[in-house]
Amino acid sequence: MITWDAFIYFAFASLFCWMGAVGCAYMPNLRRWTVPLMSLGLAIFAVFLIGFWVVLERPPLRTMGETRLWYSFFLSVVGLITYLKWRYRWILLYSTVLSGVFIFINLLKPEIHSKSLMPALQSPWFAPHVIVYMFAYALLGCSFLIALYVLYSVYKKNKDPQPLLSVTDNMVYAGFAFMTIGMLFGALWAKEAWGHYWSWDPKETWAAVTWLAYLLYIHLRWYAPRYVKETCILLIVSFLFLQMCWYGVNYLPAAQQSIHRYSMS
Amino acid sequence: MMSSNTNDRRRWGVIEALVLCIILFFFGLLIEYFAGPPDLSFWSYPLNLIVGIAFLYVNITVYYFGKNKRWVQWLSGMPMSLTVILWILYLSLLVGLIPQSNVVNTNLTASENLLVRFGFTHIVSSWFFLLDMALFLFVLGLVILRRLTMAFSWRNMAFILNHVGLWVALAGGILGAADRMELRMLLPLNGNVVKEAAEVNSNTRLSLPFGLELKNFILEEYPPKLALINSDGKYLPLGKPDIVSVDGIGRVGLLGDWSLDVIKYLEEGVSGGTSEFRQADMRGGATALYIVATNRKKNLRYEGWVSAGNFMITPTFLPLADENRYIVMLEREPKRFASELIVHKADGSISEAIVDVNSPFSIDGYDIYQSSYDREKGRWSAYSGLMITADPVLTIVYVGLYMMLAGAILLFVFGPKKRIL
Repeated sequence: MITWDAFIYFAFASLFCWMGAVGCAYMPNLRRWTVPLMSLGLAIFAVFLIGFWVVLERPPLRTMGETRLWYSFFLSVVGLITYLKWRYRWILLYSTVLSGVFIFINLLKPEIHSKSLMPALQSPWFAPHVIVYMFAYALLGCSFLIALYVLYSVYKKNKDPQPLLSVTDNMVYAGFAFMTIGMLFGALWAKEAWGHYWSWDPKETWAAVTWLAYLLYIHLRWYAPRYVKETCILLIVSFLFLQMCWYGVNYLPAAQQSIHRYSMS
Repeated sequence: MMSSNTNDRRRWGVIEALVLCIILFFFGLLIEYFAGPPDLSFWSYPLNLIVGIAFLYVNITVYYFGKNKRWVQWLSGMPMSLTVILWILYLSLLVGLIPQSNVVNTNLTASENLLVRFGFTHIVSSWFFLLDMALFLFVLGLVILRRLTMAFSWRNMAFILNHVGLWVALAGGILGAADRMELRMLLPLNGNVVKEAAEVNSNTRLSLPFGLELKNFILEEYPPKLALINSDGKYLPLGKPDIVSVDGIGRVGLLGDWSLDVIKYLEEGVSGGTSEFRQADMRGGATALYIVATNRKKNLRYEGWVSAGNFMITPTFLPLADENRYIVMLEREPKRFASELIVHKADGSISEAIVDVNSPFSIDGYDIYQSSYDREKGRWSAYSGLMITADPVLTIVYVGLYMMLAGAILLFVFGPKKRIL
């Protein structure tokens, strides 16, 4: 039985693997263990996700805590893919730290994980809508980490930022594509559930803000590829919008009537 | 306004684009202040169709006759695109930060009243948003027209799908808004046929080309749940309450040191004011459980009825006297609510339909949604809350959305110019 109580064991096993992978990445004679250890950590986490899904008898995607689970998982997935493609060791460190932060939030502030799923969420759109979004968030989260790193290296004047910015380009294009798909799935679902594909609900508004911000990034990179600082700041601000859309709206006075608030049980 | 032949002058860029956005913005504020918000009904078919065609016509004419002019190149250039995206982003941020409402509130302070007068409380249906959106669409249109002349490539295809899709969805959504109907109906469970519904925003009553009758309202609930509270009414353990779910008669689990057995399970019980429950013989019963709680460590045993109650029946809980705690039943959560409808068409034909949340039912261009019920009365709700919508341009908007979906997939596949992934 993989219940919420088991999360701490799976989480620590995964984190242990990922931290081991980061350590191996920085030690030349152990480097070949990096990818297997990352993958093992992901496999352990995936077993928890699937088992939890089975036990709950519904996709574990309803509460904020549950979406954080997927975020931790996908962050490490994106970290591993980035490492495999470009061999940046620090991305593993960053993604593991960020993933760990979200794991600890879940351990310290678990939300009630009941089996019940309100009728509004009982739809075939539910799982694809949220999973696609979480994957996009993880990609864009990694691009945020790189933007911070680039800003730091520009400040230190010790690196040519262009190769790193083409990594963020790749991440933002993929993240933006997934975000668009998630948003359109949301629109098609909203028509089925609430009668309109777009009703400027606070969550939708902030999703539009986030979407436009990354759209701006894509266009800015075409127009002015040499504006490194501005580009990085835009990526950081866009990521803050994304946080606002994900959970920040729940605390916003303008959003107390939102039909998107499912965390109360 | 534009002098296009002075080659020595700097080309127009972001600053000039921003000025244009702001001019339109202030122009919109003025119209809003003096003439009030745009009257949606005025724009309904066929005016919206005419405006749409005229807009497209001007868009195409300006492109074909002006593509070599500097101001058209400026309007369709990257600085302009960046600026209009930034400006719509800014307006969306305002929507996200200023509480929006469609309801006219008369108890406003002077400064709040100014917000209303200038349209900041209903931004997405204000003049300034409409004007800036028109600029956005115009620029997007020029960008698309310029790109259409390029030879076919998959990357080009991604561009076309993304941009045309966005144009079609936005133009369709904005122009079609005037013909979109959103109505609410509280359909009573008394055999009456209702042929009218209230428009959501204006609250005016409209008659429908069909009548609806509620045959049955269905509410299915998740199994009852039991929890432990202290004398302050707080769930225990504090911060991380234990909850057990009851699937039927028998051992259900542990709450703290107490093991619980359900002896009797009444789906519809009545108490008649005492703490004794029996099967209800009429409508209005509440779930009641007769449980035995045993604490082996302390060798204690309590038994009695537990019920969350409802609008008729007072909640009943089982006191664990030695610990100053109580076993309570949580209010049951809805699993499904749906309406069995009888549809009376104008031609006299009668059919039946079921509407569920997430599963609407379509008739004669209308979509009927299950949206609410009387929460206080739960399964004994005397009515079913329905939403009825009609959206003649939905197909056009969906064409746009599906183009964007295909575009997003191509964007992922082809990625940026310098592709490494």
